[in-house]
Amino acid sequence: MVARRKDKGQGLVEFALIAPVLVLILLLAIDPFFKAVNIALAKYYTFQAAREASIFLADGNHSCDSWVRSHVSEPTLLMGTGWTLAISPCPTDSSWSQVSGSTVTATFNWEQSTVWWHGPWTGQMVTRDVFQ
Amino acid sequence: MNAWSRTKAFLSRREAERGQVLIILAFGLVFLAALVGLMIDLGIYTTNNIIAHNNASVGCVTAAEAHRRGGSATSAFASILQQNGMLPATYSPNEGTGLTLTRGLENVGDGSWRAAVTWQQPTGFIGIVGIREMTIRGRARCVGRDSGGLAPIAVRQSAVEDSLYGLPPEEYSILGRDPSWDLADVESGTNFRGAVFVHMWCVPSTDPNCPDIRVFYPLTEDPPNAQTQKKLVEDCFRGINCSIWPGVDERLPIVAGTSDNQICHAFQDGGWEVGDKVVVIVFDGEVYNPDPTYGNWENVAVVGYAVYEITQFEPNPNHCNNVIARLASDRIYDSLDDIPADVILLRSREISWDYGGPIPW
Repeated sequence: MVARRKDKGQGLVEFALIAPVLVLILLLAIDPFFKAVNIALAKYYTFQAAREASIFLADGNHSCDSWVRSHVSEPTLLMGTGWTLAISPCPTDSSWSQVSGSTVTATFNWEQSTVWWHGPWTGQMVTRDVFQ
Repeated sequence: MNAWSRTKAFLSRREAERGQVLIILAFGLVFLAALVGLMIDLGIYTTNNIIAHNNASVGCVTAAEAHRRGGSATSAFASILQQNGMLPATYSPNEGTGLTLTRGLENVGDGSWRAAVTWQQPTGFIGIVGIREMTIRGRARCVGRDSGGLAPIAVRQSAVEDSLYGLPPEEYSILGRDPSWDLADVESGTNFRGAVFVHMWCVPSTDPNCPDIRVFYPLTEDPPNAQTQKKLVEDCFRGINCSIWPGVDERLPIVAGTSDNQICHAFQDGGWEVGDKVVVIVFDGEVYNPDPTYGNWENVAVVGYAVYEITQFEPNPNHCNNVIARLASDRIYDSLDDIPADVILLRSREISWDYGGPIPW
C-alpha cells in the first residue's frame, strides 16, 4: 500500500519532465512554419500585383500604382508587423502607360515578429511579369 | 509480509521502473520530431508548388504575348522565368505533352499555350525515413489576346447605331476615305481618315478648341513631332504601347497629314487581316475643327467603344486605301471592361489547364 501511494503522480512527474521539451520543439517549429506560410502569401501577392500591373490600362484618372493596389487583396501575414509593396515601373502618375514587352517587378518586403527565435524576421519576395 | 519484505519489494519495483521516463521521452521526442518535420516539409512542398504555379503562369502569358507580337515565345518564356530565379533545368527541355506536360512550353494550336515547370526539392526532416527529394510541379494554360487592345480608330456614332438597327450598308470604311461613305457627320475639312491619337487627350475644358494637350507615356513631347506621332499610331495598330483607355467624353486629336494609303498600310503592318476583330472608339460624329487662330488640334469626342470585323481591304490588300468592316458587337460599350471575352479577348490571360471548348473570343 505504501509503495502504490508512492507511485502516485509518477505520470505527472514524467509529463512534467517531457512537457518543456515538447513545448520547446513546438515553439522552435512555429516561427519557421509562419515564415514558410508568409513566403507563400508573399509569392502569391507579388504574382498578383505584377499580373495586374501588366494589364493596366491608363484611363487618365487612376495611376498604375493605385490601380494595382486596389485590385490585389492585401495579404494577412502570420505574426506580420509591417510590409511594403513596390511595383516598378508603375508610378503614381496618372499620365503613365506601359511599354509593351518590358518587365514589371513587384517587390514585397515584410517583417514578422517571432515567438521563440530571436527576431524580428524579415523577408523579401520578388516576382516579375511582362507588360502587355 | 514483514516490514523488511515490503521494503525489499518496493525497492525492487523501483529498480525495475528505472529509465522509464527516459524511454517515454525518447519515443515522444522521435514522434514529435517526425510530426514537426512532416509539417515543415509539407509547408515547403505547398509553398514551392505555389511558387511553381505562379512562375508557370507568368511564363505562359509572357510567351503568348511575345508570340502575338511576332517574337519568340520560347525565348520570352525562358527569359522571364530566369528573371524570376528559375533554373533552366526547371523549364527545359520539354517533358510530356498536352495534358501530361510537366516541363516546358507547348503551343496547343488553338491560340492557347501550356507551360509547366518541375524541379526536385530536397526534403528536410522526412529525409530521415529515406524520402530525400520531393517533386515540385507548377503548370498553367493561357490564351494570347487576339487584338491589340483598343485600336486608334474612331467610328461615328450614327454609323454604329445604323448597323445596330440593321440599316444598310452592312459593311463600310472605318479607316481611309471612301467617296461613297462619310467617316464623320460633321467635318469642315478633309483631314479625318478614321484614325485618332490615343496618347494625346485634350485637357478637359469648356473650350472645344483643344488648346492644351495631355500626353501619355511613352509619349513625352508636347506636342510630339510628326515622326513620333506616326510611330505611335503604327505601334498602336500592332497593339504595342497602347494600353490607354480614353474614357467617355474625352476629346482626342485626329491623325492628320497622312494619306489613305499610308494609314491603311500602317494598319496592315500591324498584322491585321480579313476576319480579325478590332475594338474601335465611337465618337459623336463631329470632327471639331478649331478656330485656326486659337488651336490646331482637330478633335473628336469619345462616346463609347464598339467591335468591328474586318471584311476587306479596298481596292485590294496590296494597294490598300480603305479598311472595310462590319459591326460585330450588339451595342456601344461604355467601358472596355464591358466587352465580353466571347466577343473579343482584350488581355492575354490564364485559363484552366484542361479547358476543352473553343477558346473564348
